[in-house]
Amino acid sequence: MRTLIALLGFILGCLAGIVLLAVNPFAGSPVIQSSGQSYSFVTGDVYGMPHTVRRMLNLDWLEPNKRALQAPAVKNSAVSLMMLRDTAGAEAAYAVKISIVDDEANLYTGKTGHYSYWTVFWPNQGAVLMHGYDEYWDQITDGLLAGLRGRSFTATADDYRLTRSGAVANSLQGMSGIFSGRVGSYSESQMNSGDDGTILQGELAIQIN
Amino acid sequence: MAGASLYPLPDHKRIRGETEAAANGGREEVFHIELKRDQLGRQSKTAALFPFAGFSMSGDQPVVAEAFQIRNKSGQVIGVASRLEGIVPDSIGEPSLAVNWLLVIPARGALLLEQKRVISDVVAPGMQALHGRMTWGDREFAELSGSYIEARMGMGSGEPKIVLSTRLASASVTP
Repeated sequence: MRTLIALLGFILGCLAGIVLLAVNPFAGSPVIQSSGQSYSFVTGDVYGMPHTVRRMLNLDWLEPNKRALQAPAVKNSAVSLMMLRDTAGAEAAYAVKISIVDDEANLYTGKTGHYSYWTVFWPNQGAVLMHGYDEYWDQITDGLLAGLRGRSFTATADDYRLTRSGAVANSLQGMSGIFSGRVGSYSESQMNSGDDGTILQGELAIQIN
Repeated sequence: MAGASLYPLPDHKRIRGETEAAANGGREEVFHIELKRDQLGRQSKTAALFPFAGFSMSGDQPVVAEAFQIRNKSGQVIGVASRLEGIVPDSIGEPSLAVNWLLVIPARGALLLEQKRVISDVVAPGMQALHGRMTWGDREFAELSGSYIEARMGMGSGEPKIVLSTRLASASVTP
């Protein structure tokens, strides 16, 4: 009987912990509103760490990934190649996104992001580098609550805005062509692909000053 | 809640850096890419939608977008990289070649390499080198600047390989 009560207490404690995490007062810095030119992207050229809740919680055993980068130094990195389309749906630019987990991420502080680096090339115009921080806290807490409801830690919202105010600003700098010497900013939101880490879909707002 | 701070989120394994002191100051570090093993995307099912070399829009000059794993001198994978190449207008509006490498070493930081003009040398039979500058970095590379050489070897036969040789120093010293 004592064992049963202890086990029940442990389980209830874990559940309460998850709920407390989801309403963690230390987390959830304000969303940055997008400004600038909007672009959309969808790609299956995604390699490395998928941005699913289970993978971001280090539960690899729940989620085998055929496109994982096996080397230990890059295991928690992701590389995506894609085409950016303008609001009319026309091909506008080519982009490569590299993201790596923040090795100071911590569930208690609600800082569960990835550093991201974009290189974007507009043919016959020029290229820019964009670098910043993608915060996945909303997706992770959504997945945790879904797990409590027996839905296998799968995030449920349609999309998540990754760009937040905080110590790391999402900044842009020109690399070549007509963008040389120019600076700016960007923000990103990603469509929720559920447990499918092989698709990356979302929107960018790019402001070049 | 206390358990949350101890929860083991994904982290990076740090591979020992293989930098060497340069003879006239600064530091040298060489990165290798073995094209057959390290290029990402060659087996992609969506290759038709996103060809990895020489694809273009509207018949204009091609843009080449590539992604790789990068290795240290000892052959260990230490990071990932992107390479974008295409024609852009220069400061007087004339078409010129622009090549940008972004190297991301998760445990150390990132660095951006730029080659804005075509400066090439045939340094050995079957080997051509392109020269450029490092123009941006973060974390370990934040205070550094310098130059790099991109050399392609074995492209005709054998094991095709790209070697990026960097020579970097504190931004106040030009190596």
